[in-house]
Formats: sequence, C-alpha cells, structure tokens
Amino acid sequence: MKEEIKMNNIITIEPVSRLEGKARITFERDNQGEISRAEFSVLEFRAFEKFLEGRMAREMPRITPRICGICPVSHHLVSAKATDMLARTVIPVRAALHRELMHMAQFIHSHTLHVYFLALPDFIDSFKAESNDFRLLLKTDPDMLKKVIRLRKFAQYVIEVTGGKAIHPMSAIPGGISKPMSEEQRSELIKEAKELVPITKEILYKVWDLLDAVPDKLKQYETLETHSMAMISKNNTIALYDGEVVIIDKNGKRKAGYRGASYQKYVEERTMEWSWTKFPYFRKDEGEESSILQVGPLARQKIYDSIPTAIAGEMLDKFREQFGRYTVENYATHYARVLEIMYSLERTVEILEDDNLMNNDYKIKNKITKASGVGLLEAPRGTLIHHFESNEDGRITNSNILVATTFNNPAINLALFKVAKAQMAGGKEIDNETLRYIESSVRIFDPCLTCSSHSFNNFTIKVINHRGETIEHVQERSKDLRAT
Amino acid sequence: MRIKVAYCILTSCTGCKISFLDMHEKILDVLEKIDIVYSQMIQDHREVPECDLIFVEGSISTDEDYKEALELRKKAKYLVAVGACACFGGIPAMRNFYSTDEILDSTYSQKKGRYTGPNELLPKVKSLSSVIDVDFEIPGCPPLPENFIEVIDNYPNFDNIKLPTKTLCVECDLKKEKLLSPIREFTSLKINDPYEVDDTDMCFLERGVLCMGIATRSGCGGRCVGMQVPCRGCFGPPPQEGSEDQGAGMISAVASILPTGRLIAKEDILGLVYRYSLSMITNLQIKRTNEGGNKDE
Ligand code: SF4
Ligand code: SF4
Ligand code: SF4
Repeated sequence: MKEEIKMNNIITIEPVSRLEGKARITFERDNQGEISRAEFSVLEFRAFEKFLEGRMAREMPRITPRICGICPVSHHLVSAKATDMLARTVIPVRAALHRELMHMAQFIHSHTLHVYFLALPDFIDSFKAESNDFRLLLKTDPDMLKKVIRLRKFAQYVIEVTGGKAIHPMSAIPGGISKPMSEEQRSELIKEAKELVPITKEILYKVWDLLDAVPDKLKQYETLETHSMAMISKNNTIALYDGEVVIIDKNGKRKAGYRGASYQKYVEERTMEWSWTKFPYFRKDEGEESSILQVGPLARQKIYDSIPTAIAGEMLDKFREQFGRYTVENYATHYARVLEIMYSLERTVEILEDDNLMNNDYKIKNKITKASGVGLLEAPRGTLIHHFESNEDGRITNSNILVATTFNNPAINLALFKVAKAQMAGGKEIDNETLRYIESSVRIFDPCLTCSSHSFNNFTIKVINHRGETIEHVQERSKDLRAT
Repeated sequence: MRIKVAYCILTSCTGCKISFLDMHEKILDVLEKIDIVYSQMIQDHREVPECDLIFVEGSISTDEDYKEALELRKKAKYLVAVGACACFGGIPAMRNFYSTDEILDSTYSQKKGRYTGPNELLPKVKSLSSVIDVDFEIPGCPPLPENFIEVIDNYPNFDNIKLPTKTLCVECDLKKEKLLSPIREFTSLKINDPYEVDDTDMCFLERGVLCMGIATRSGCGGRCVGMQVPCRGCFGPPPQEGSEDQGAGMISAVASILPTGRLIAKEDILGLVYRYSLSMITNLQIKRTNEGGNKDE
C-alpha cells in the first residue's frame, strides 16, 4: 500500500494558524484526486505524566498548570481537587467559592481570547483577506477592541488576586486555599465587575450579530452527530466547577454519569490495534454501541437545562430558538461560547457578593498518604480529568490526565476529513478560501494543543460515527511519509 | 521605522505568549512601535520572515525545535529568549530524569518499542540559550508583561535593561530573623509540609518549610511567598557567575538552616531544587529517587 502513495498526493499545512499550539494538517488524495485521508498532528509532547511520578503529590497544583498557559487555572484547580481527595479532605465553602471565582475569571479570559483574537477575524473580513488577525478590529471597531481588552484585563486581574499570578497561579492547595482575599480587594473587584456587566452584554450581542451576518455558505461547518459530555449541577443547571459529569447521545438521551474514578467505566482510552495512538472514547456496556464524544461549550449547552443568571439565561433562550438544543451544527459552538462569557461574569458578581467568600476557614490541614484521587472540572474547552495515586510518603505513583482537546480529537479529525473531502473534491487545489474553511473547521473546537499532552503526538485514528460504524480508516504513516 | 517583530514558539505551554498579551491596553501603544510580522497564535502568516527582533518561547525538545532554533537565529537581527523554558529548560526538562524509550514505552505501553511520533524526541530537553546565542534573556514562568515592554523600549540596547539580579529573599516581605543572624543555628528542627504550618509573616525557611527563594533570582516581586505559598524557583538561578546550578545553590543554602538529612529522606529533592533548571546540569548522572524514597535518615 505504502509504496503506491505518491508524494504529490500528500498535502500539508503547517503551521495551522490561530490555534493554541503547534499543529500540522496532512491530507492525502487517492488516484481519482479525492481526499482519502486527513490528519491533524500535534507537534509537541512534554511527557508530563511520566515526570509527575515521584514528585510530591502536594506539588501537583503547582506543576500541572504548565501543561497549558492559556487555561492554567483549570489544571491548577483540577489538580487541587484531586489532591484534596488524596488528603482526604472536603474543602471549606469559603475555599470552594474562592476557587470557583478564579475559575470563572479564566473562562472569561480564555473564551474572550478565542472569540475576539482567534476566531472573530474570520467573520469580520470574510474569508478573503490575505491575513486576518485581531488588528482588523482596530480598523473596524476600535471601541469594541478596547472593551474586550478591559474585560480580559479584569479577568486576568481576578485570577491574580485569587490565584497569586494571572498565569500559573498557586493559591489552591490540598485542603483549600493558601490565602483569602481582603475586603479592599473584594470591593475593588465588585465595582469593576458590575460596571462590566452591561458593557459585556453589549459587546457579546455585537458578536452575536456579526456571527448571524456571516453568509450562510460560510456557516456550514460539518455537522457531527456524536455523543456529548459535560458537567451538570444537582438542579441540571450549568456547572463549571463542581458537579456530575454526564454523557448524552445525539438526541439528548442520558447514557451515563460519573463523579470520580468511575470515569474509567465510561471513558475508555483505547489503543486500537491499527492505530498507534490512544484516544478517549465512550463505552457503555459490553456489546452496546460506542461513540466518539464531543466536549466544550456546545456539548455543555446540550447537557444543562438552564443557566440561572439573568442575561446569560436570556441568551440561552435566544440560542435555543435559533438552533434548537440538540443542534448538530457546529457553527453554534461560537454562540455557546459567547453565552458562557456572560454567565461567567454574572457568576463572578454573585460570588463576590456572597459573604461566605469572606468568612470562616479556608483550609484544612491534612497530610497526603496512600490514596487515590480524581479531580473533575469543566475547563473552557471541555471536561478535564486529573487522576493521581499517592504512596505513604505523599509521592505520586501514578497519574492520568485527560484533557478536553484530547476528548474532542476524534471529532476534530472527523470534521477535518469531511470539510476537506467536500472542499477539495475532484482534485481542487487549496486556495486561500479553502484554507480558511479547513482551518476554521478545526478552530471552532478551540483546540489547545499544548494541553493535549496526554494522547498527544499523532492523532491518527479510525473515525467511528455515532452508530459505531467506521467512517474512515486511517493507516499508520511511514517514517518517510512524515518527512514530506 | 517600526521594529519588525516575530513571536515564535518551540515546545512550550504558550503561557509566556499570554503574558505578552497581558500588557492589555498597553499593547495598543506597543503596536505603534512594532510591526508583528509573525505570530502563529494570532495571525495567519506561515513563514517567519527576516526580522529585527524575534521573541522565542519554549525549550528544545524535538529535532524540529532544534532546527527551528537555528533557523530563527539566522533570521533575527536580535533574538530574545523568553521564559524559564527558553532560558533554562523549564518544567518540561523534568523529563530528563528519564530516557526517551522509558517515556514512550510507558505512554504507549501497548506499542512498546515501536512508537515514534510525528517528530523525534531529543534524548534530553535543552534550553534555547544552550543551543544558540541569544541577545537577551527574560526569565520567569512566565516573565512579567512589563519585561516585554522593556525589551521593546530599549531595542536594541538591551544592556540598558536592568533586571533584578539578587535572590528573591530581597524582594520577599516575610520576616527574616534567624536567617540574617551571622551564626546560624538550625532555624527549624523539623521539615514541614508547606500547608501544615500556620500562616504567619515569618520566612518559610524559618517555619521549617522549603522555599526556593534563597536560590532564586529576584524579579517576580515575590508572588508566591506573598500568597503564603513557598517559592519554587521559576525565575531560575541568580545570573552571577558560578551560581548557574540552582539546585546546588539551594542545597548549600539550606545546609546551615535545616536538618538536611531529613530532607533527603522525605522530600522529592530533585523535583524541587531542579524543577525549572534541570537542563542546566548537563553530564550529571541523576540518581532517581522516584521509586521508594522511604529511606531512613
Ligand atoms: S516558561 Fe512557563 S509560561 Fe513560559 S512556556 Fe515555559 S512553562 Fe509556559
Ligand atoms: S526563603 Fe523564601 S520565605 Fe524566606 S525570605 Fe527567602 S523568599 Fe522569603
Ligand atoms: S515566588 Fe518563586 S516560584 Fe513564585 S513567581 Fe516568584 S520566582 Fe516564581
């Protein structure tokens, strides 16, 4: 087989732009000129799980943030949650609120970065311009850009106050937090948060309109019928910091739910005999259908019933009117992300106004000994799991890190394959427009490649649809092929 | 004439890049002075052109990183290493505890000995500065946003930038008593976990908690210690000649303060003292401490 592959049948795009991290896309055409293979390769690997072994378990929240500089708070907090379990503690309410506040701020920062700096340029200047970047906003809407900057600045400042540093915070410790905020800091933050609510509402609706105004042709990302996975609160409302993780099928039917180590029952990392890469996968029971999963804003939207805050709740109604709750249109992800920015800001105000943030204990001292701990969290890009085991000395003996981008990876590859097949049919060459289509079909997932340190490297996979049928069969790549 | 600037990323977490963006509104002023000609994360350019100034973030972990570093050096009039990873290897260099075979085999247990990857992992992670000549280094994980502004404002006379060079203890507001006395007794007879001591305004070492501040370059403003969390050394060793080995610096510094015997037995000492700078101690046989670690004093 391999010998038959002609070099000029291989098309590569590198680097893939406006993504967090480095990636290469490789397509292969068959002899009829049709796309027969699509691969999205992540080009870096940092072996975190290996070198975490032997480290002190209490240091996990300080080391794992370096997995990703865009959502370090997620790794910080999910590691802290896992080490809370290793220390056999339930953290005080005050500490939980403090952490959740940091988390909300990160949602604002990370989603804002994606929407305004990474994705939006695609919609402002259509797909035609030579180069699209955030400086376009300087020309088209400098006022909006200033407001966006102010919002992001606030968010990063909240992380600094609650976490110690905006990037790679350190205040979440096993058993709670290291230092609560002062009254002065609190009032300063409340003031700015409240001022930002109407401003944010305005700029988010502006984006909404911009998204609506994009010509239909450009909205047609690939439709993907997959399972969805996300966290949910006791009352089935949106939950980003704590709750049960639920898996539903494409029609919204609940397939599974887990809170701790039982994720292993449903989320399998398979190494397929025909693939060199492990990847996460939903498995129900013996014999029942498996499916690829999607996580992230759109998956969350399908899973929560409602959003309990006023403006974001209103946005959700609008969203569901426009798309329907179980939409298969991936384009809707942009909107789902937008309404999460609003929710996070409204929730920020709520937490800041909660007096539990200022009173009582904020940490419980307990030594870590032999134990197993699983932290679950909704990171901006989707469900995040850190699973640690520790020994008597409080050292890590085993670790497992499952990140959102890895969960989404099969779907990313599937979307990529479909878009390329459609756009490059009949031997059509890649031009600027096709390239934009292709990249934005990946970009919509907001993949964070630095994060995907787990199943990393080469995400070459067999793609299976929601019925468990093989849609695409990918072969191993030979070394010399990679050199092209 | 605006300075033509590229921002390039090797193996990294992109946190340094986010720190660059965290100039917030000041970025609008900075954009008056510079022309960003390449930045994969926020722009669509595919090739790094020849430019005046290249910021490079990340460590050298793969063959591609290595080639790219050499390329970038050729393209840049001035090249600045950004962050702990570029300056001294950073956290990813902790994989240097292991061989690449061990790493790949354990991650791809079902493909033992057969897994390679889209590019080749170098046997050891190296810092950018150890592979090419760099014109300036801004340390930290990540560096402060102001550091980028200083580099741009002073371009190309980087000598005018005066980054702090003493140890973090100088910037730390926690009270030092015994630490400063000329004849030091053990300041604490016990080594404590950071989170089992009470919050006070005393120096961590005096509370019996390992704090890397004493062997770490100042410049961060004492962020962690200000948050009641001990320093872990992300600004790397102080720049003076002879203090490149941050771990050795730490061990000799605490030898007179804490009962170090206990320390070796109970603490993951390598993962602490070399957390950010393991790649600086080349040719050193590292004894692994991850298995067991329960030896008696
Ligand atoms: S120095 Fe720190 S922030 Fe910068 S790339 Fe390395 S790990 Fe990320
Ligand atoms: S050792 Fe740590 S706590 Fe003590 S003075 Fe130095 S930086 Fe501060
Ligand atoms: S206190 Fe230490 S670990 Fe924390 S930011 Fe400063 S140098 Fe880095």
